[in-house]
Amino acid sequence: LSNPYDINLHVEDPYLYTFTTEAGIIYSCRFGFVPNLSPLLGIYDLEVRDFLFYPNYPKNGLKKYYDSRILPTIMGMIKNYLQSENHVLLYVCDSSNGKEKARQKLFTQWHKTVQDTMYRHELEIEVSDEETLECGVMVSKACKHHDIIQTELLEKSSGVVLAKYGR
Amino acid sequence: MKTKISIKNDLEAVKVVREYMAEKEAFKKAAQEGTATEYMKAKAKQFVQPV
Repeated sequence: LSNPYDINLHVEDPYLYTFTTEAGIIYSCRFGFVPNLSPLLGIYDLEVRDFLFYPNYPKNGLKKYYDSRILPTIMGMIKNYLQSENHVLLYVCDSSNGKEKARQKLFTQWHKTVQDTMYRHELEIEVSDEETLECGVMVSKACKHHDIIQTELLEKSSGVVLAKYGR
Repeated sequence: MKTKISIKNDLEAVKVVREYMAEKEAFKKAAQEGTATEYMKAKAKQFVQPV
Protein backbone atom coordinates (compact mmCIF):
# COMPACT_ATOMS: atom_id res chain seq x y z
CA LEU A 1 0.00 0.00 0.00
CA SER A 2 2.50 2.56 -1.18
CA ASN A 3 2.08 6.28 -1.72
CA PRO A 4 -1.40 6.87 -0.29
CA TYR A 5 -2.86 10.36 -0.02
CA ASP A 6 -2.83 12.14 3.34
CA ILE A 7 -6.05 11.56 5.25
CA ASN A 8 -7.98 14.39 6.92
CA LEU A 9 -9.81 13.63 10.15
CA HIS A 10 -12.93 15.49 11.32
CA VAL A 11 -13.44 16.33 14.98
CA GLU A 12 -17.22 16.36 14.55
CA ASP A 13 -17.22 12.73 13.47
CA PRO A 14 -14.34 10.37 14.29
CA TYR A 15 -15.47 7.89 11.63
CA LEU A 16 -15.42 10.42 8.79
CA TYR A 17 -12.30 10.80 6.65
CA THR A 18 -11.52 12.85 3.58
CA PHE A 19 -8.61 13.09 1.19
CA THR A 20 -7.89 15.22 -1.85
CA THR A 21 -6.38 13.77 -5.00
CA GLU A 22 -3.75 15.44 -7.15
CA ALA A 23 -6.57 16.36 -9.53
CA GLY A 24 -8.32 18.23 -6.71
CA ILE A 25 -11.12 15.71 -6.19
CA ILE A 26 -12.17 15.35 -2.56
CA TYR A 27 -13.13 11.82 -1.47
CA SER A 28 -15.50 11.47 1.49
CA CYS A 29 -15.26 8.17 3.38
CA ARG A 30 -17.20 6.99 6.40
CA PHE A 31 -17.37 3.94 8.61
CA GLY A 32 -21.03 4.00 9.53
CA PHE A 33 -22.58 2.68 12.69
CA VAL A 34 -24.80 -0.38 12.25
CA PRO A 35 -27.18 -0.62 15.21
CA ASN A 36 -29.34 -3.47 16.45
CA LEU A 37 -27.29 -6.35 15.21
CA SER A 38 -27.62 -9.87 16.48
CA PRO A 39 -26.86 -9.80 20.22
CA LEU A 40 -24.42 -12.65 19.73
CA LEU A 41 -22.07 -10.32 17.81
CA GLY A 42 -21.96 -8.08 20.86
CA ILE A 43 -21.34 -10.99 23.17
CA TYR A 44 -18.22 -11.74 21.14
CA ASP A 45 -17.30 -8.01 21.17
CA LEU A 46 -17.59 -7.76 17.38
CA GLU A 47 -18.03 -4.18 16.11
CA VAL A 48 -19.66 -4.00 12.68
CA ARG A 49 -19.60 -0.84 10.53
CA ASP A 50 -20.60 -0.25 6.96
CA PHE A 51 -18.23 1.60 4.64
CA LEU A 52 -19.09 4.33 2.18
CA PHE A 53 -16.80 6.38 0.01
CA TYR A 54 -17.63 8.85 -2.72
CA PRO A 55 -15.62 11.25 -4.85
CA ASN A 56 -16.99 14.79 -4.83
CA TYR A 57 -17.08 15.90 -8.40
CA PRO A 58 -17.62 19.66 -8.71
CA LYS A 59 -20.48 20.79 -10.88
CA ASN A 60 -18.14 22.33 -13.41
CA GLY A 61 -16.68 18.85 -13.83
CA LEU A 62 -13.22 17.38 -13.63
CA LYS A 63 -12.26 14.73 -16.11
CA LYS A 64 -12.28 11.25 -14.53
CA TYR A 65 -9.05 9.32 -14.85
CA TYR A 66 -7.29 6.38 -13.22
CA ASP A 67 -5.43 7.42 -10.09
CA SER A 68 -3.16 4.70 -8.66
CA ARG A 69 -3.03 6.41 -5.25
CA ILE A 70 -6.75 5.94 -4.51
CA LEU A 71 -6.47 2.17 -3.94
CA PRO A 72 -3.71 2.40 -1.29
CA THR A 73 -5.52 5.30 0.39
CA ILE A 74 -8.89 3.50 0.66
CA MET A 75 -7.40 0.13 1.53
CA GLY A 76 -5.09 1.79 4.04
CA MET A 77 -8.14 3.22 5.82
CA ILE A 78 -9.85 -0.17 5.81
CA LYS A 79 -6.71 -1.93 6.98
CA ASN A 80 -6.36 0.58 9.79
CA TYR A 81 -9.97 0.02 10.89
CA LEU A 82 -9.48 -3.76 10.76
CA GLN A 83 -6.32 -3.65 12.85
CA SER A 84 -8.61 -4.54 15.69
CA GLU A 85 -9.37 -8.23 15.32
CA ASN A 86 -12.94 -7.62 16.54
CA HIS A 87 -13.79 -5.03 13.88
CA VAL A 88 -15.94 -6.12 10.93
CA LEU A 89 -16.57 -4.08 7.79
CA LEU A 90 -19.71 -4.37 5.69
CA TYR A 91 -20.02 -2.87 2.20
CA VAL A 92 -22.75 -2.76 -0.44
CA CYS A 93 -21.74 -2.15 -4.05
CA ASP A 94 -23.47 0.76 -5.77
CA SER A 95 -25.99 -0.74 -8.19
CA SER A 96 -27.60 2.46 -9.44
CA ASN A 97 -26.01 2.18 -12.88
CA GLY A 98 -26.05 -1.62 -13.16
CA LYS A 99 -22.30 -1.96 -12.53
CA GLU A 100 -22.46 -3.66 -9.14
CA LYS A 101 -20.77 -6.85 -10.38
CA ALA A 102 -17.92 -4.77 -11.83
CA ARG A 103 -17.54 -3.04 -8.46
CA GLN A 104 -17.49 -6.38 -6.68
CA LYS A 105 -14.72 -7.51 -9.06
CA LEU A 106 -12.85 -4.31 -8.32
CA PHE A 107 -13.12 -5.03 -4.60
CA THR A 108 -11.76 -8.51 -5.31
CA GLN A 109 -8.73 -6.92 -6.98
CA TRP A 110 -8.30 -4.37 -4.20
CA HIS A 111 -8.57 -7.09 -1.56
CA LYS A 112 -5.61 -8.89 -3.12
CA THR A 113 -3.39 -6.06 -1.93
CA VAL A 114 -4.24 -6.81 1.71
CA GLN A 115 -5.16 -10.50 1.60
CA ASP A 116 -2.21 -11.39 3.79
CA THR A 117 -4.02 -9.81 6.75
CA MET A 118 -7.72 -9.70 5.78
CA TYR A 119 -10.45 -12.11 4.79
CA ARG A 120 -13.28 -11.01 2.53
CA HIS A 121 -16.62 -12.82 2.41
CA GLU A 122 -18.83 -12.02 -0.56
CA LEU A 123 -22.56 -11.74 -0.03
CA GLU A 124 -25.22 -11.81 -2.70
CA ILE A 125 -28.75 -10.70 -1.80
CA GLU A 126 -31.48 -11.54 -4.30
CA VAL A 127 -34.00 -8.70 -4.04
CA SER A 128 -36.12 -9.71 -7.03
CA ASP A 129 -35.84 -11.90 -10.11
CA GLU A 130 -34.15 -8.96 -11.87
CA GLU A 131 -32.16 -7.40 -9.04
CA THR A 132 -29.31 -8.77 -6.94
CA LEU A 133 -27.18 -6.77 -4.52
CA GLU A 134 -23.46 -7.42 -4.39
CA CYS A 135 -22.15 -6.96 -0.87
CA GLY A 136 -19.25 -8.13 1.24
CA VAL A 137 -17.75 -8.36 4.67
CA MET A 138 -14.10 -7.80 5.48
CA VAL A 139 -12.44 -8.90 8.67
CA SER A 140 -8.95 -9.37 10.04
CA LYS A 141 -7.42 -12.83 9.70
CA ALA A 142 -6.64 -12.52 13.38
CA CYS A 143 -10.36 -12.56 14.19
CA LYS A 144 -11.28 -15.67 16.13
CA HIS A 145 -15.00 -15.56 15.40
CA HIS A 146 -15.44 -16.18 11.68
CA ASP A 147 -18.12 -18.77 12.41
CA ILE A 148 -20.15 -16.19 14.35
CA ILE A 149 -19.77 -13.66 11.52
CA GLN A 150 -21.01 -16.27 9.06
CA THR A 151 -24.08 -17.29 11.03
CA GLU A 152 -25.00 -14.04 12.79
CA LEU A 153 -24.10 -11.45 10.15
CA LEU A 154 -23.88 -12.91 6.65
CA GLU A 155 -26.77 -15.35 6.94
CA LYS A 156 -28.92 -12.84 8.83
CA SER A 157 -28.03 -9.86 6.66
CA SER A 158 -31.58 -9.09 5.60
CA GLY A 159 -32.42 -8.83 9.27
CA VAL A 160 -29.46 -6.49 9.74
CA VAL A 161 -30.85 -4.14 7.12
CA LEU A 162 -34.29 -4.34 8.70
CA ALA A 163 -32.87 -3.52 12.11
CA LYS A 164 -30.71 -0.69 10.84
CA TYR A 165 -33.65 1.20 9.50
CA GLY A 166 -35.86 0.59 12.47
CA ARG A 167 -38.45 -1.77 11.00
CA MET B 1 -16.24 -17.50 -0.08
CA LYS B 2 -19.72 -16.35 -1.14
CA THR B 3 -22.99 -16.47 0.76
CA LYS B 4 -26.22 -16.15 -1.21
CA ILE B 5 -29.53 -15.25 0.34
CA SER B 6 -32.88 -14.30 -1.13
CA ILE B 7 -35.31 -11.80 0.34
CA LYS B 8 -37.55 -11.52 -2.70
CA ASN B 9 -40.45 -13.17 -0.87
CA ASP B 10 -40.05 -10.90 2.16
CA LEU B 11 -41.79 -7.72 1.06
CA GLU B 12 -40.83 -5.80 4.19
CA ALA B 13 -37.14 -6.66 3.71
CA VAL B 14 -37.30 -5.69 0.03
CA LYS B 15 -38.86 -2.35 0.96
CA VAL B 16 -36.12 -1.62 3.49
CA VAL B 17 -33.35 -2.64 1.10
CA ARG B 18 -34.79 -0.28 -1.49
CA GLU B 19 -34.77 2.52 1.10
CA TYR B 20 -31.14 1.68 1.92
CA MET B 21 -30.17 1.83 -1.75
CA ALA B 22 -32.08 5.11 -2.13
CA GLU B 23 -30.04 6.49 0.74
CA LYS B 24 -26.83 5.40 -0.98
CA GLU B 25 -28.06 7.11 -4.11
CA ALA B 26 -28.65 10.31 -2.11
CA PHE B 27 -25.02 10.15 -0.91
CA LYS B 28 -23.91 9.74 -4.48
CA LYS B 29 -25.96 12.71 -5.64
CA ALA B 30 -24.52 14.82 -2.82
CA ALA B 31 -21.04 13.82 -4.02
CA GLN B 32 -21.93 14.87 -7.53
CA GLU B 33 -22.84 18.25 -6.08
CA GLY B 34 -19.59 18.36 -4.11
CA THR B 35 -21.32 18.13 -0.71
CA ALA B 36 -20.86 14.48 0.34
CA THR B 37 -18.79 15.35 3.42
CA GLU B 38 -21.45 17.75 4.74
CA TYR B 39 -24.13 15.19 3.90
CA MET B 40 -22.30 12.48 5.85
CA LYS B 41 -21.88 14.78 8.86
CA ALA B 42 -25.59 15.56 8.79
CA LYS B 43 -26.54 11.89 8.51
CA ALA B 44 -24.17 10.93 11.33
CA LYS B 45 -26.04 13.29 13.67
CA GLN B 46 -29.22 11.31 13.07
CA PHE B 47 -27.85 8.38 15.03
CA VAL B 48 -26.92 8.63 18.67
CA GLN B 49 -23.99 6.30 18.88
CA PRO B 50 -23.39 4.33 22.06
CA VAL B 51 -20.32 5.06 24.14
